[in-house]
Amino acid sequence: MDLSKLWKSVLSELELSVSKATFQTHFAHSELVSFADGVASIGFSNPLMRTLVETRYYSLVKSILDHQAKQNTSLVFVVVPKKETLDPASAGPLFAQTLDRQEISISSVARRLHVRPGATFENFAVSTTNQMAYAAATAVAKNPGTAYNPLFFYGGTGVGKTHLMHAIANRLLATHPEMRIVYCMGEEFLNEIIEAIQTKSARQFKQKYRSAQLLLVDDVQFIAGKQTAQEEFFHTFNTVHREGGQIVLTSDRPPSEISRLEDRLRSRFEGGLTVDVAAPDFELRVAIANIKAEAMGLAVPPDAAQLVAANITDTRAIEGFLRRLTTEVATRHGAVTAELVSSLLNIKNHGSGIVRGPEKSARRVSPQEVLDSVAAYFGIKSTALKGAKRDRPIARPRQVFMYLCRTELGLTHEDIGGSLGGRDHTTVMHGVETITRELSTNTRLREAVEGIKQKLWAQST
Amino acid sequence: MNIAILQENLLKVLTRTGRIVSQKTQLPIMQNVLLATDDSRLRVVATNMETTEVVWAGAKVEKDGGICVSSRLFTDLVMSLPQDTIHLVAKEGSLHVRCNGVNATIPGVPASEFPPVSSLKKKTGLKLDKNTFLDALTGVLFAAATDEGRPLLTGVKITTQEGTALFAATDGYRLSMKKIKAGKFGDLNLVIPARALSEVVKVSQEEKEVGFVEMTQTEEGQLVFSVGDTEVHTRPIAGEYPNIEKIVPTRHNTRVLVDKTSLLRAVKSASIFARDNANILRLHIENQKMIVSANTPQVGENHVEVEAKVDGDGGDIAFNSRFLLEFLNGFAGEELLFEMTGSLE
Repeated sequence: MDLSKLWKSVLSELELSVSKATFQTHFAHSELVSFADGVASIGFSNPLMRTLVETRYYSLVKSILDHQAKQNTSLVFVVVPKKETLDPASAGPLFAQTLDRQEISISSVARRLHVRPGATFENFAVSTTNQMAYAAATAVAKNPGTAYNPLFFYGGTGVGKTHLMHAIANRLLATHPEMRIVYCMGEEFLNEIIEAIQTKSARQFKQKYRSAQLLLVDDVQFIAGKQTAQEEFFHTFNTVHREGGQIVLTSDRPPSEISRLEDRLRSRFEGGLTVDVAAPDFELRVAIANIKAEAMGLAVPPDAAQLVAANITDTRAIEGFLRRLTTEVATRHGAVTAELVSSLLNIKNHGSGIVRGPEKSARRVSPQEVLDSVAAYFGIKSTALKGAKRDRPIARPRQVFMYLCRTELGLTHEDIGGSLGGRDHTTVMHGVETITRELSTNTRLREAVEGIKQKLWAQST
Repeated sequence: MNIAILQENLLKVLTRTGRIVSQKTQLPIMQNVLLATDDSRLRVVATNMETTEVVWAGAKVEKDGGICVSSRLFTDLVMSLPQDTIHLVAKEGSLHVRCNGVNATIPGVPASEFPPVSSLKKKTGLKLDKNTFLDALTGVLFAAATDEGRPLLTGVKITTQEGTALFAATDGYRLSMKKIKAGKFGDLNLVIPARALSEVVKVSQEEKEVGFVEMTQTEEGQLVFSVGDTEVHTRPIAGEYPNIEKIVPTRHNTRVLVDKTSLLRAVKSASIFARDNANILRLHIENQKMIVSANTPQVGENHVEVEAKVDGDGGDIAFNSRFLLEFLNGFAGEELLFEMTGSLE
C-alpha cells in the first residue's frame, strides 16, 4: 500500500474535522512512517507536536485511519527529525563567491595569458631524459628570478618543453597570484612588434613586455634573423632581467646552433641555465600514455599502455591515438584492451602510413635499405632473410623487417611478402602482430627496432 | 492553585519567559504562559515550538494546581503592581491576582491545554564553564542567519575535535568562527538554533551567581540547557551544514594588527555616514595606518585614521559597516589581527 497516498487521504479528512490553524500546526508536517499488521507509525518533526497530537487527537486520527485502511488499527507516534538541506544557490554570496573564486581566477587568468591550465608539474612525467629540465623548472617556480635566469629549454618536438614552461606559469599563478606574467610565442612577439610599428603603439608594447615579472617565450628561435625583433627582445630581456624578473625560453636547438641569432642575444641566452630536454624513452612514454589517458577519463590497462608507448614515439601522436581510442571505446561500448590497441595500431598505420615526426618521414627509405639494415643489425646475410629457412635467428629479424616495412614504410602485406621471396600475406600479418605485441615487453627487441630505425633515418638528418 | 510570591521574583520570571512567547503564533495557546506549582515552587513555562523555556521561582504554595494565562497581559499586570507579596489563586478557569490592595481577574485556560514539555528526569549533561561558553557564543551568534528560508544557517554549528570545540555561524554574507579549548565537551557535532542559544546567553548574563551551563541531550534528541533555575529546551537542526573550512582563505598578502577599541570607535563614527549609503564603509591600509572612511552624497563624509601595524602590500577594501560593528561588539580581545588577500577592484 502506498504510505504517502494513504496519509494524504487521511490528512484531507482530518482537515475537515479540525480548525485550519490546528491542522496547519499539528498535522501539516506529519507523515506516515510505516503501516504493517494494523500498526501505523506516524512521524512528527517536533516532539512537542507529537505529544500534543497523541494526547488530543489519538481517537480522531485512529477512526479516520481505520476508515481509510478498512481495518482496525493502532497508532504509534514517533519523532522523525526533519532533515534540513541548504540549497547552495541560496546559501549566500560568501559560499557562492569564495568557493570558486580561487579556481576561476587562476584558470581564467591562465587562459587570458594563453597558458594551458592543464599543464602542471603534477601531471608531468619525469624520467632520466627530462629530470634535469624538471628539476630546473621546479627550482625556478620556487624561487623565480634567483634560481636560474634565464632558463633555456631546448629539444625536439613533443618532449615537454612547453609543458614545463606552462607548469612554471601555473605554479607561480597559484603561489604569487599578483605576479605579472607575459607568455608569448617567438612568432607572436615578432607579429606584435610589426603591429606596434604599424599602429604607432610601441609604447604599449614596451610597457607590456618590459613590466613582466615572469617572461615566457616559446620557440624563441623564430626571432632569429629579424633585426628589429632581436633588438627589441634584447632590450626587453635586459629590462626584465635587471628588475629581477624571471625569463624562461624554449627553442628547438641550443642557442649556439640557432642560426642568424645576434651574438649579444646568444650570450645572454647562455647566461643562465641551458637544459636539453631529450626525446622520451619507452618508460616515460608509458607514463605519459597513462597520464594522458587518465586526463581523458580513459581506463587503459598496463599492457595496452605499453603497447601504445612501444609503437608510437611522438608524445603528441600518443595523445592523438588515445583520443582515437576514446571514440572507439565509446562507439563500441567496450573497454580498452591490448587487442583493441594492436588492431587500431595496424589500421592507423594502414591509413596514414607513418606515425612519426615530420623530419623523419622526409626521407624516403626503400625496402631494400630496410632489409640491409636489419640484416646488418642482426649480423646475418640479407639473402638469408629472403630464404626459406625458418630458424629463430633468422625468423625473428625477418619479422622485424616485416614490422618496419609495415609501420614505417606503409607497405601492404602482399608487397612485404613479395619482397621476402613470395611469402604469403598471412605470414606477414602474423609477423607484424608478433613484433607489435612483443615490443611492449621485450627490451632487447625494442632496442633492436629503435636502433635500426635510427640508422635508417639518421642518415637523412 | 493558591500561591504567594514576591512581585520582583515573579516579574523576573515573566520577563524571561516573555522573550520566548511569540505574538504571531498560529496556536493561541502559545501566547500563554503556564503557571503551575512544582514541589512548593512556582514553575512557569513558555514555548514557541522551537524553543521552550522553563523557569522555577520560590513561592509559598497553599494549594497545588496550575493555569495558563496570556503572557503579555499577565506580565503587564505584574509590572504595574507594587513591590509586595502577590497572591495568585486559580479558580473556575480564571486567575485572581491580589497584591497590596490591587485585585485583578484574568481569564485563563486549563493547564492541560498547554503543550506538554518533556521534563528532564536527571541532569547528566555536560557542565560547561559559563564564561567560556558565553564567550564562544557571543563571538559567533551575531553572524547566524535570521531568515527562515535557510533553516540550517539559523543555527550555530558546534563541533569538537581533539580537545578543541569550534563554534561557527554564518548567514552567507559573513562567517564567524571561535575555537575554544574543550576538555569537557566530549564528542559534539550539532547545529543548534541561534535564537535558543541567544536566550541561553541572556539568561546566563542575568544569573550572575551561576558558574556553569549544563547541556543535556534527551532520548528524544531535545537539547536542554540548564542555567540555575532556568531550562531552555530546543532541538538541534538536522541536516548537512555547509563546509565552512573551504571558504576561509588560507593565505593573505596584507596583515594588520590594530587596537580593537580605536577601530571600534572609528567604525562607529564612519558608520554614521555609511547609514544612507548601503552601509558601505571603506578601509584603506598603508604605511602603518588604517583609514576608515564612509560617505553619502548630501549627508557628508568622514575619515578616521587608526594607528596600525601593517605587514604586506596594503590596499583598499570595503565592508558593510553593520557586519564590522557586530563583530567588534562580540569580540572580547583588545587587539585584532586583520588579514586580507587582495584589494577590492
